[in-house]
Amino acid sequence: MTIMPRINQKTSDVVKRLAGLLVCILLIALFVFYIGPALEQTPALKPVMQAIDERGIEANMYFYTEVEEFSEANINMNNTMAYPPRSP
Amino acid sequence: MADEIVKNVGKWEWSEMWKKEDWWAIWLGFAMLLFGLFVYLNNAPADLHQKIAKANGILAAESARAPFKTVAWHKAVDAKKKLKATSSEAGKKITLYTKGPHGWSSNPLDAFMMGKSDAEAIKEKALAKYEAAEAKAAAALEAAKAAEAAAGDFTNETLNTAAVTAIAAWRAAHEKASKAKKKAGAKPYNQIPYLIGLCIFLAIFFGVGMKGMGKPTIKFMVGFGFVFLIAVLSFAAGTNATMKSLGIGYAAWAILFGLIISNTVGTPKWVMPAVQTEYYIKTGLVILGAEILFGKILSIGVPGIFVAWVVTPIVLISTYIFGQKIVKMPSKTLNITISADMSVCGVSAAIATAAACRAKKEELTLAVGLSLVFTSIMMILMPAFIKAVGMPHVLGGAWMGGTIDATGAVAAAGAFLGDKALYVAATVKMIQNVLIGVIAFCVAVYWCARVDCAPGERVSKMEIWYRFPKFVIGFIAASILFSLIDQGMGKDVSYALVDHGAIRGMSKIFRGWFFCLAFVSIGLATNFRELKHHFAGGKPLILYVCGQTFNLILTLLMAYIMFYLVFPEITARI
Repeated sequence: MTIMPRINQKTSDVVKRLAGLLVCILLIALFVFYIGPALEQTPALKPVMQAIDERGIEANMYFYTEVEEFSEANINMNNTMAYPPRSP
Repeated sequence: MADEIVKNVGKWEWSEMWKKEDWWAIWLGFAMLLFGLFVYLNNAPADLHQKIAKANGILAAESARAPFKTVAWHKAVDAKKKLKATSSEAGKKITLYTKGPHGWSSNPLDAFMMGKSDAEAIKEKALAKYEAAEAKAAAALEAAKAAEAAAGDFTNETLNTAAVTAIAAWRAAHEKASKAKKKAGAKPYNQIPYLIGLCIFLAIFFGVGMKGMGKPTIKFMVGFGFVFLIAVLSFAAGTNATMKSLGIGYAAWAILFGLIISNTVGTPKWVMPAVQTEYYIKTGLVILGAEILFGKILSIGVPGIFVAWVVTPIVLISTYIFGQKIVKMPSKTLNITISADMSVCGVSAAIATAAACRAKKEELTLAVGLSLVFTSIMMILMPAFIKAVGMPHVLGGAWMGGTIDATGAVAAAGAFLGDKALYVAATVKMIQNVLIGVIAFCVAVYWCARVDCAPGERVSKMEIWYRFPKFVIGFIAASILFSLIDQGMGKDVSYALVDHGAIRGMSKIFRGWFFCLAFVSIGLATNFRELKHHFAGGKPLILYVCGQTFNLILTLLMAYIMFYLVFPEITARI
């Protein structure tokens, strides 16, 4: 007699957990496919987003070696310091 | 994290070197770095030294000839930029085998595979843009050459200014054309077999260490497939074009995906042997050591050192003291991790500091989360403010480089303002990135000597050694070794063989994977309730906001003093 309620309880627990996972996946999809692109188009964000897109910047990277612009900056700065334009 | 680590307390045994996680992180990390050095030093670009000598000859002549960077000066630098060991056949193969998911916009499957017809369609669309950009760049080059020729012997200030403006316009057009060319090179691909191969390789790679430590290797390998899969999905989410632009990278997704799984359906028990946060982080940090080249700190001369290496430690220590005395942070490890990620460089600094002081995994998660949120905000607000008030771009660049946490966001904010701001911001940030090694070492020593002991206890040097997190030695040793190689080769050769060889072609790739595996593991082992407890009273937020405000004021002040009052000649050169 006590086994059936326990199984029911377990099943409802599994359903709850799966439902939670599904809701999270839907929320992520909503953010990636709708909210994120909408945010990109807002007047406040659009100019920076355009600069990122035009130059193909990896704006979500965490260390200087992961971003190509840092290599560009480094070699430019090294040569600027080593071969500076002469004084006018 | 603190619960999972092995503390070396009270005595030293040589067997630690093949039984303990810290040492395995060192051996595995160094094996990878030495392999990278071997591959790339043996695959140098053809005629490397002759090409560098030729470019430097032009640079020296142009430097003596003109009071501004001429067209020939820029072309000589461009010629040096192309010299990369990663462009060799071996480099291309390593990239192919270890690359994560590709970039995508609307179809997530594009992250893993793309058919010939889709690739052709993208190529065709991008080709038209590239051709237009290339035509603009060619026209801008002709205009720049004409303006430079018109300047003649460079005695007329008006003509010189016109030439500088025309050259800057050409560089901007040239940059756009280069980026458009990359997009026009779309090819069909199927990354899945390579990802499976990489998963097997990494399972064996870490499995060797697990075996050495006497942990269940087979169980680890079985669970590893799941952790790797979530890491792949995290990278895929991070390569989405919109997420890239918004600054939301793989670390955020890895933690989020892990948290969702563990707090909904629960992390499967068979996965738990592969949830090895510390092991992945420590190995990743040893490899990261190679990317910390001390020669970089002189990249922009003394002003850069003051902005990045004087302000940053002052802000870090002040914020930590403020957190202890005023905010009364309940956890010292959370306090120092937030202080470091806010003052140094976000996620990577948080990882290094948290590992050095043995912070809890939830504390690292919280610090990373705060950093990511504020990075996205500052990436938008700071360039807008600089533009609105008409701040000089060198000053604005230095300010953003010293204060925005995440490295990629610094590049984005700088690029919005222009090349000058981008180069200064990126250089200051890069110098700050190098500080991670010193910070991690000092935090590890301070924690062993002052924090992890009874009140009033005096800890002997030997006791500090016993307690010291040994992987930090590997981290520092890798940094010293690569810094010496970098200095010994000279900047130009090192750029081709180390920077664009062992570092970007090996260290960067695997360190990214290891940190991603670590963040997935953190998520898979964390309960939302544990996170809530650490955020009680909003103290971490107060600490971050107060520390960042101080950072913004002090960095701006120091940048102004250094670039405009003390060393204006350096600013003029830039």
